[in-house]
Amino acid sequence: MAITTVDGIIAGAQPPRYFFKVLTGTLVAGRPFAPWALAGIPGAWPAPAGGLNGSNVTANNGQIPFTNPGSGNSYLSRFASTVTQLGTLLLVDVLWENSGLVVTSTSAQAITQPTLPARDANGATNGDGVLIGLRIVTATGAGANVPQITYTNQAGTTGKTANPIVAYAASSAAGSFYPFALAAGDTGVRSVTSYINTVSMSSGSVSLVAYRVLASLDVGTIVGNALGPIDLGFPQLYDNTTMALIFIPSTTTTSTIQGIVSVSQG
Amino acid sequence: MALTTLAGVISGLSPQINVIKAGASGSAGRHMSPWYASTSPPAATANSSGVSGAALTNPETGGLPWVSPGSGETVVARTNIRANTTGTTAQQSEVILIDRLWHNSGINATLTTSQTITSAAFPARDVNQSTNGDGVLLALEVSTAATVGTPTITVTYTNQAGTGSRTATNIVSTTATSGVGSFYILSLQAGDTGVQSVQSYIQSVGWTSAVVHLVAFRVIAFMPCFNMNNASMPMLKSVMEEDVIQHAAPRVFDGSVLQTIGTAQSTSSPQTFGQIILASG
Repeated sequence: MAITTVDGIIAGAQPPRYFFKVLTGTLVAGRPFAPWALAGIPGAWPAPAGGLNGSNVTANNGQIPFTNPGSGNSYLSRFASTVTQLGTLLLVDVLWENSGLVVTSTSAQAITQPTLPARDANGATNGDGVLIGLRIVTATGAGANVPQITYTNQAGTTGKTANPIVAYAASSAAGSFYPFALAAGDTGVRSVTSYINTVSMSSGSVSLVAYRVLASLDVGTIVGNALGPIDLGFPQLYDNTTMALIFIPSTTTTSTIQGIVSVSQG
Repeated sequence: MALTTLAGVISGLSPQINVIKAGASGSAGRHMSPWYASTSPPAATANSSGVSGAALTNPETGGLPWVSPGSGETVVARTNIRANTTGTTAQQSEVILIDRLWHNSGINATLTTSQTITSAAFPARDVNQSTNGDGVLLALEVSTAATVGTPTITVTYTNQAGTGSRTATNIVSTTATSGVGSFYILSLQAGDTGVQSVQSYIQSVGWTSAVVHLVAFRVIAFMPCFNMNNASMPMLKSVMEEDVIQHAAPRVFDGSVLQTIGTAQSTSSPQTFGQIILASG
């Protein structure tokens, strides 16, 4: 069953889930920031685990709450927020995260990623629409590194490579988030097969994250924004969706971020 | 019976609820509650329910004037809310419609020792219309302004799964001169989705002169404000008009005590005004 009418949106409306965090830590204009490990509402995302191969994410103590429907499908029906600075707020579904990357190594670190949860853009495991980001878990040290991943794309083609879209900066603060590009022609990542640094990061800890963007919201200073189901394109949220936020700031100003996420199910 | 169609929403539209609330001097980035402010709805007086507090059901002075329908469901059908100030200073960044489930009194804001609270049972108005507390949040509300002290607030609570000894702290730092209506939302411990009950309260330092109350609430709707800054106009406007679809038809459960809160963007006093239209059927 699926929601195919406005009536269905109304009938299947679930109560909104509120989020509220203070984005402490060093923000950098244009560099995405993942407030997952910060206290607030929801609570803090735990430190990543699972080793280099990582673990699929089907629930997380730091996620925006989501409950699978008893039957039918789930859809994002409202995303509204205010942030005390200009920027773009992304609502993402986190599918996989690893740990244990050696930040000082300049050798390829092999990764055998488990099959993705069936939550790509088509509700499959192929990876269409799935992106990879480098999450700075604890602040890194000196080293103008150019991280690179090797991955298998959504079509199953291996040996694809990518670097961060926003150049990695030495001494990146915790929470910094570096999305990797996609090789030309690719629409997503099915699995990461290795990671390599060009130079040592000296210290800190990082993780690779597989995620899918559910919605994007432009917000401004004293100017909030809200998107309803039609504006959002009514994206489907597959079972065990694990929602989190990524903010792309315009300044270094410590900011508060709050808003709601609503879901319709049916 | 449930509201399952747009036609049902249309046929169940209620007269608009006017919201006209005087502002209170705030602090940038801190939520403000107009619970104690005039005009529509009338100002509430500080409750004297004691530390165990009282579960709230409409009608409650201070809450928006609406009457629970005898049957069926209620949704937010339309909102048109503004938060204005005069001059060129900033205003509120959003208006949040909440259901005020419980509040207490009798907290001694000068103490730095733990104060036991055995909260009265919250009404069955969590996200699942139960008493479990899923989606229920806590805040500390000021009814008499503080003058000295910037305490960290820590509350021990039982979460939505019935697990006790969870802790929550204020997400935004307190200010020494927190004015009437200051509303400090508390965090949730990792893994929690709401609060079922409250067991204790403690401050890190004393808060001179302040009279404070814990409030349990659930967010129903979130209405960002747009800033329409026209230098030739004496009044800045924030306008956000949304209908039932844009709001994704959030439910208002029977007995809800509705009020608004919002985040101040300066020390100015934004006046909240606008209309909320509910639909029942």
